[in-house]
Amino acid sequence: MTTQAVTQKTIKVDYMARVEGEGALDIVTEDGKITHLQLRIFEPPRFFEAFLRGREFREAPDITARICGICPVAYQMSSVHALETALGVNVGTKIPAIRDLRRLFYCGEWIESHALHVYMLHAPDFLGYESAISMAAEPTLKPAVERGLRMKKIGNHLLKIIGGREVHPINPCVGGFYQAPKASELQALRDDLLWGLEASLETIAWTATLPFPDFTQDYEYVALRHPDEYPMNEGRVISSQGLDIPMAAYEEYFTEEHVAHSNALHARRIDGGSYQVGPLARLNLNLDRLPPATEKALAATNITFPNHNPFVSIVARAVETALAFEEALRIIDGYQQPAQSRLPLDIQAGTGCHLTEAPRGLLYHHYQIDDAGLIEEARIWAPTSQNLKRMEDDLWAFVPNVLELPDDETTLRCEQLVRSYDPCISCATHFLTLNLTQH
Amino acid sequence: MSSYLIGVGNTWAGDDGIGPAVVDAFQQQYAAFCTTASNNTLGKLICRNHAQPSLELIDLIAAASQVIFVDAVVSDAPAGTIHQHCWHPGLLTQRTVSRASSHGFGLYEILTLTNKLHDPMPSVWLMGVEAKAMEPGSGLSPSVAAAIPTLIEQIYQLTLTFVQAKKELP
Repeated sequence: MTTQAVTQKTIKVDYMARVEGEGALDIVTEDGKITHLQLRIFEPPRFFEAFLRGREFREAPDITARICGICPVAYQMSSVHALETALGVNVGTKIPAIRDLRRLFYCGEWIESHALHVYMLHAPDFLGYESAISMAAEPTLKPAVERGLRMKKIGNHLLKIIGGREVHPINPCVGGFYQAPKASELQALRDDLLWGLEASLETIAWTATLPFPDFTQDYEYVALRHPDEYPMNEGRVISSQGLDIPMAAYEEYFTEEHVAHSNALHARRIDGGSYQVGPLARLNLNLDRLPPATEKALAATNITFPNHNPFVSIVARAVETALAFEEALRIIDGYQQPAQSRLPLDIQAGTGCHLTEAPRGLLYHHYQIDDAGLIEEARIWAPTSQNLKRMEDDLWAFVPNVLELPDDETTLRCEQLVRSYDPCISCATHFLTLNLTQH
Repeated sequence: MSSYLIGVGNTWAGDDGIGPAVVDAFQQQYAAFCTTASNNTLGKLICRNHAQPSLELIDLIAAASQVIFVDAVVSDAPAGTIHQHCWHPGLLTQRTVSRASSHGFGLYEILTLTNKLHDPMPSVWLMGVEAKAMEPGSGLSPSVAAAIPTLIEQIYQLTLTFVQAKKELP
């Protein structure tokens, strides 16, 4: 009888930087095979849906904006569109300038969120730096950090002009905006936006040269698809496996469920498994909707799309940042302040849902209101919740590829993979702990 | 070049609100020195409150001649203890929790990044009060609130130092 020695190795990282979320990742391997892997989310539930019950419908955009400090516009846009559906009105049809303004508003959010993630959160992984601070100390990388910060600042400024303030804007409302900005206020941003467009086109080229780990998966991508434009506020829900449905049918094909190790729900296809939302999914499904300068800059790189490497999401974010600058300029050049900034609303009982494309992916809102305009039921599916199961599936496939690396490198690669999704765990949490045990 | 007094903290998180409370009280007591405007600030101390430090502070600090931050402090000192430091690289250490958040940057990150991007740094002072409790809800612990008058006087004396050194304030 022989006894084989078992080597046990534990890797523990108390706090995983540069993701937003309160949770832990536990991985146990034996003989090079994963026996246990859980992305545990222990951030306490925040009960926003419960807060909304009994509130007047006009409060929903302001309440739900508080879910996230980086993507409040997404929460406001999903809520106002869903509630307008419940009330039976289409604001964009009746006041086209409001439709444009909402798209411009979203451009600001994509710019500030994507610039933050590309330069401050994800790029250090690829370049071997602990953080953007250490990148800034390197003379050759300092200009990149400055570029990212200035791009983010421009996005924030755009949010302030349209939304009244940079974080948790107060100007959007069901029916439109409390006040529409003057054309001159938006024109004043033009020079900054032109600079931002050039900087973001450079960013596409810059991210395309980063060293990407060799890893691809057979994903089902899910995103909006619009007949004429890259999707933000409108469109049908499509997937890379042939799904093509109206927003109203979303819950017939997708579901959220509780798993014991996570306080954040896991979404999945009702008849299947995980799927991916976010910049990589959007770009893979909407390549033919890029504006000209962005399309040209992407074509000049050596990265091909559709692309199935999650680490390449940093390129997709760069592409969407350029798209947002290009779209912002187009909208501003055609914008005239509308005489009416919002539609008067006739309160009636109804049900409505809507999805918009948050920086991190599809954000679903569903409301039921009574004839007094009080919210009877609300459901909100955040993008990170929709990606959580996919992240776990990725880790199951990815970890065996990196187990032979030194412990700190294995840990870094797992963190980098999670960061590829730019997770905002429960849209307001603090840290992720990684415990990797190898037997 | 401008001089700033900036309170940092969440007024809905107990003693974390000490920074904004001090800045508000300073403005009341020394109204002639203070302004909240961002232009026509000659001879004025620009006062602001931030629920948490943000990246916009980088440009603000870089363009300022001096900045005083007031924040809650958690160390081993008794609650209400006043801390006063002139910032220099290495004064603050990276807090594990703050570095983990992608949505918020701590003073360590903001000041260190500003220092990497802009040289020379202006004079930056960190004034703080040892916190007792930072649970959800408004209101300061009595021992923390009791530090406000002393801290205001220290900030005033520091402001006079600026006046004498830079001759910017009246």
